[in-house]
Amino acid sequence: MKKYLFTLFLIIPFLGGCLDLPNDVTIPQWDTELNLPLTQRKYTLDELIKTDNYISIDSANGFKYVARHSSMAEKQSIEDFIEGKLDQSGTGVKLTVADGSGSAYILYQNGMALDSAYFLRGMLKLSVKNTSTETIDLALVLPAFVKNGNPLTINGQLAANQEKNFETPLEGYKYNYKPQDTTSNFLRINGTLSGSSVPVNIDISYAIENTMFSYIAGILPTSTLNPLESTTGLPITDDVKDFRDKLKLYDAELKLKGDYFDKLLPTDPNKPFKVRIDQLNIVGYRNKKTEQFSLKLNGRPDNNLGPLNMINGHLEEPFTSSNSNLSEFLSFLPDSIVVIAKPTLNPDKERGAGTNRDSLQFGFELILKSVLSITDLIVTDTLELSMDKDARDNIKNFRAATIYLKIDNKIAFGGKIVMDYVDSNFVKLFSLDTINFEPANVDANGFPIMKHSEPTIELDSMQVQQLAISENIIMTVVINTTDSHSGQKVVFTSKDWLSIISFCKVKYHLNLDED
Amino acid sequence: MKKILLYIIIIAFMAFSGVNIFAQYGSFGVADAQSIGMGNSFGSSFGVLSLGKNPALLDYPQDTSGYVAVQFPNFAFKAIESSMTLDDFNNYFNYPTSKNLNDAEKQAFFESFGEDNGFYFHLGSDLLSFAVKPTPTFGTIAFSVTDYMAGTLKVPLTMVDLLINGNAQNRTYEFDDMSFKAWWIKYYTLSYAREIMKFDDDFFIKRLSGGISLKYVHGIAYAGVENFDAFLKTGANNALTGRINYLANSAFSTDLGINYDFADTDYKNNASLFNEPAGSGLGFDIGFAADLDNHIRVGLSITDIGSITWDKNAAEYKANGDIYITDLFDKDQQNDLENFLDDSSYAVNSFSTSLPTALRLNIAYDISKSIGIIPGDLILQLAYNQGFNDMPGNSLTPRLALGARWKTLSWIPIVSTGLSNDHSGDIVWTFGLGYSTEVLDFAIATHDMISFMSTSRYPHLSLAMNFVWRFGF
Repeated sequence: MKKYLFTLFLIIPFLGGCLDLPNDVTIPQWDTELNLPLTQRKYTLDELIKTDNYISIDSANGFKYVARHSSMAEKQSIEDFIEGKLDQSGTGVKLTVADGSGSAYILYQNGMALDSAYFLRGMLKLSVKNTSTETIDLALVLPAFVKNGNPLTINGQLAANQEKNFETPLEGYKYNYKPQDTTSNFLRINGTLSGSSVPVNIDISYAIENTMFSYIAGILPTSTLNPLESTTGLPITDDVKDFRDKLKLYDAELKLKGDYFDKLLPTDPNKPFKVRIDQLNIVGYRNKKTEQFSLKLNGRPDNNLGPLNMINGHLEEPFTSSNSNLSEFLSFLPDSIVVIAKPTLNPDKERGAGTNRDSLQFGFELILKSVLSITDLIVTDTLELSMDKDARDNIKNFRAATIYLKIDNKIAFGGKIVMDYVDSNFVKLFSLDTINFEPANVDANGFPIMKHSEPTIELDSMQVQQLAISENIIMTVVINTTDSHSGQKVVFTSKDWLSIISFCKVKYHLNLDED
Repeated sequence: MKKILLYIIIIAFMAFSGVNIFAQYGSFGVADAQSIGMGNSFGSSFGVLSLGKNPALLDYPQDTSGYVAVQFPNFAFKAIESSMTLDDFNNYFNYPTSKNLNDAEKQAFFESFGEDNGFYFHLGSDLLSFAVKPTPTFGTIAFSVTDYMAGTLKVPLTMVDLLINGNAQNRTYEFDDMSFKAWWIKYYTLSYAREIMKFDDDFFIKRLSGGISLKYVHGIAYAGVENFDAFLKTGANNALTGRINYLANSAFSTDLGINYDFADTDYKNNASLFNEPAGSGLGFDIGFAADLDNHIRVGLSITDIGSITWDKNAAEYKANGDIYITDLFDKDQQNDLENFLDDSSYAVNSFSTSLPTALRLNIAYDISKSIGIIPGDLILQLAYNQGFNDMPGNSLTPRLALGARWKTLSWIPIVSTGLSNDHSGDIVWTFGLGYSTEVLDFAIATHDMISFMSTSRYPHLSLAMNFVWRFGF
């Protein structure tokens, strides 16, 4: 419409027969120079990185970001530890019954002392031999074993030199050493005879088998349990994988956590048995476990991070870059972390108590703070240039363009961007490789100091025409934190920001005749 | 805004479509061919030729006892483009395919525009006019029906600069000079003039006449920008700051077949000589003329005092906003820009416009009566026209005119010529030829002879022709 007005405005006065009027009226075309704003944005990291359950801001320490990932393996029962603890056997136990009664004592093996116990199962096997020449009516009483208020009693008549076997299931028996003596490191068997006043010697062979307890207290022998292994997958996406071997974290902590969960009654005077992790390995795996990296303590040739003692049933052992190779371990960016712990219960053979429902649990908490360096991280992406025909035709009217950027960067993060413009067959049409934005300077602690840069991008006429037919942009960004090649650590804080002002000068071919 | 432009074209098209339509309206409007030839001055435009200029001259010449005068046919047309010369125009526009300008040519193209890029057109015609002077003492009564079309479009140089050179950094482009008004109005005028007083022969004033015209005005079409305040600034980092504040009005006779987008109407084009008006109003002219010593005549008049109320098919266009664009990819700013460029249009009950009120002072000197050696009748004229508003045909810029009319032998055409200024201050040379008999007064004239002879100045296309038939009794 405007061009008609423009034409009208100019030609109407010439519409007269007396004048040398033009024969063909067309509006000339020319290149005009337009100065246009493009963007004016300020990005702050607290807008870009949202806090959630895993990421928080340490406002007390310079607003660093803190990422936490916690993983605890399934609880694992310590049944192994208490199962069969009383299993033992022996022969030649002499019970001399004089004046109608007598006692025999069986010392618990391996230094064990049994203060009390509740039997879930077990079998007491006694083989009793009457060594006398008379028939006897014998009663054997084990006062420590009580069921329904009655001590475990075995009655039998044995002819002279007869040997008889007795089997008594222990299920449902409670054990308390006090009725038998003041000490608990043996088992007492009382024997009584009826109908004989002469002393009788009885040989006893015994076996306590397949015992299991719902509760056991005393001094149990030190036992090493089967290794506990827990595997935790890490949220390593394809994007994150790009950071492998490029990222170094200077303020990270991997905290091994362990808990012993006892089911003792609050009124129980005994404490749970102590636990020591004699062998601890933390191994990172990646690429379907084809590659692994072990966390190692500084100065240790092996991969064992133990021994570690649980204190009051709890273990919390931090591994940092100062006491271990954690930085390298994290740079490895494992897909999964496997914690293998070989626990030893009651390592000091102390008096304690446990139940069959007690359990152990291990895991770790990974705490990453945003103090890091990134070296030559290459990120490649393909962007589709979705423009309709009108837009492409419009671009063709551009003769040249210069894009000016004013970047104020208070993030210790910079990059060089290479953009390859390709056609629908991904044949490269032209490249732009002049986009280089500088990272912020940093102070001695790695905190960023704003840096100003003014890169420009120039497109000549040929490039503009090729832009109009480009279908995709293959963008390659080489990212470095400040002075990363010289090992400089940098800090990212939620207060960091990046300000980009961009504007352009374009030469646009104006052809009102075509509009 | 697009609708405004459309209406400009519609009215302009009507103006050039040859509709038989015409008087002198406003300080710059067209007059009859007899007056145009004399620099568009009218100290000796007597009888029906005085209508719209100075009704006191309706009673002239005094030596006629009784007559009826009719103007037919007649028209006066003037169009001025004050931007570039015809040579320039041909250089840039006269090609079968669009000429591609290089940087030097582009610069020259821009320099071909001036500060005052105006386009003015005027077209008028008396459909009917007649005058009767029953007796020498009664005075003269006249009635006329006159159509008049006029339009003014002024495009600021800054707008041309922006279009050609683009927006320079750290520069503000102001478009306050942008103006547009166009209309088509029809006057029904009843005039009366007579001698008021005669003075003693030894007094320097010999005779004083007065006249008055009462006008009933029909508005056929109007489109105009009432105010336009806009600028565009390209600041630091190419941030664009702009403001637009404009108000425009329009009203169209339903016979013109113009339907607004916002209105559910279906008017058909039934244009004719007498269209259903879109507005109406009243106005009047008042004038005096005095014959002085030494064959000098002075006329003073104020014409077109009044207004038109447009109350049929009337609309208003309004835009008012500011923008500050720093980020063309920001959705909010994109919306701001869209809203900024959009205007709102809606029906209104009515709006009013003034008539092109103007003050006219004319001094005519019949030099041939003072200097006997000059053959025939040579009259010199000096005119001053001052408009009081910028309605079409009118201007706040004063217009001065010098004119001469020389009638010699009856078979030699009467030669009229003059100088005057146009809207932009340029001097135009007027020229006209005619014959005058007792029955017919015929003239053909142009406002600008130079445009006919040269293509190196701003084109000023003008042609007027008038036949006045007089029957005395």
